[in-house]
Amino acid sequence: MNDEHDKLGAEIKRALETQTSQLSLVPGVRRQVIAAAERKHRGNRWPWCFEHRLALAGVACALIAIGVVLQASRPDSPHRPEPYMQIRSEVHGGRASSYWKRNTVQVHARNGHESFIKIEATWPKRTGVIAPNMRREG
Amino acid sequence: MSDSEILAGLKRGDADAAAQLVDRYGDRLLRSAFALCGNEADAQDLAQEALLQAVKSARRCRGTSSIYTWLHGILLNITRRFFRKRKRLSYVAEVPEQSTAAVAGKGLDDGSSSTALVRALDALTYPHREVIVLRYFEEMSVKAISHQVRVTQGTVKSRIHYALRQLRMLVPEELNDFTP
Repeated sequence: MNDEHDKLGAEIKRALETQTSQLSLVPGVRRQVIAAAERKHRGNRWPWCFEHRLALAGVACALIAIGVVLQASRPDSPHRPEPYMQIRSEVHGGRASSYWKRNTVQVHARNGHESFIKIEATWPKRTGVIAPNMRREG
Repeated sequence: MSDSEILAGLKRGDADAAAQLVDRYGDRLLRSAFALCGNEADAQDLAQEALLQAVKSARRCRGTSSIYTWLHGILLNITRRFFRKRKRLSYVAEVPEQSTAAVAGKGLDDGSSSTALVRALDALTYPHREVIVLRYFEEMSVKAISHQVRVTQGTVKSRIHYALRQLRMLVPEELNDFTP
């Protein structure tokens, strides 16, 4: 059976070779393929290939993100974060522990009193001066 | 220019590499396309499409096989798509069932076993014709065919078996010296 297959296979090959031996591509195909390669070459140049466009889109997104952050961090922006401050430990009449929570600070006076007072601080300064209120509380 | 240089050139979009590709493999690809579709005009279209596709998608070629194997893989995909589309578009009158007698008659008129054989090939279904062309015209192994056609080796062997059996029936008896 294999011999038969081989014989028929050889005959098929011979028949197809005979049929196709005169065939050759028409010149237009060559021109088309070369033109396609040239188009591709042009497409590879800055900034038209996919990678370049992707990089440009990435840079644009980064710039937009930086702009949004800067805008949100302006002092008059409603999106401005809560004051974030660290109180100097030595104040008039007592000692203020460092509080990270909003703008309240716990004050320990020398006479043993403790109180929580509001202070004012301007973002992004991270230290606040609380002298007037402290004196009163202390 | 070596094959790897051609491939590198194609990836860059080099026109000389494209010209080399056509000069080196164009005619061979055309012959294979003809063997697959049995019509010169369609074969020219299929070969052109395969070459254009190769130029466009050269970047995706990993270079693990020879350029011709890669090109031929593209040709097979395009030919399969072509037949699928033609099946959808063809009119009933254009595709009469080719009976054994009709094929045999044509073969007898031409008076040569090779012409009769090629006509008989036309009567095969595309999957059968495809494996026959790959096995005997392209001289690929069963394993390579199964890889290219994306079916199991068993399916390839079965298709070859049934295709050859059908060919034997289609070729007129007086020209058919393939059976003992």
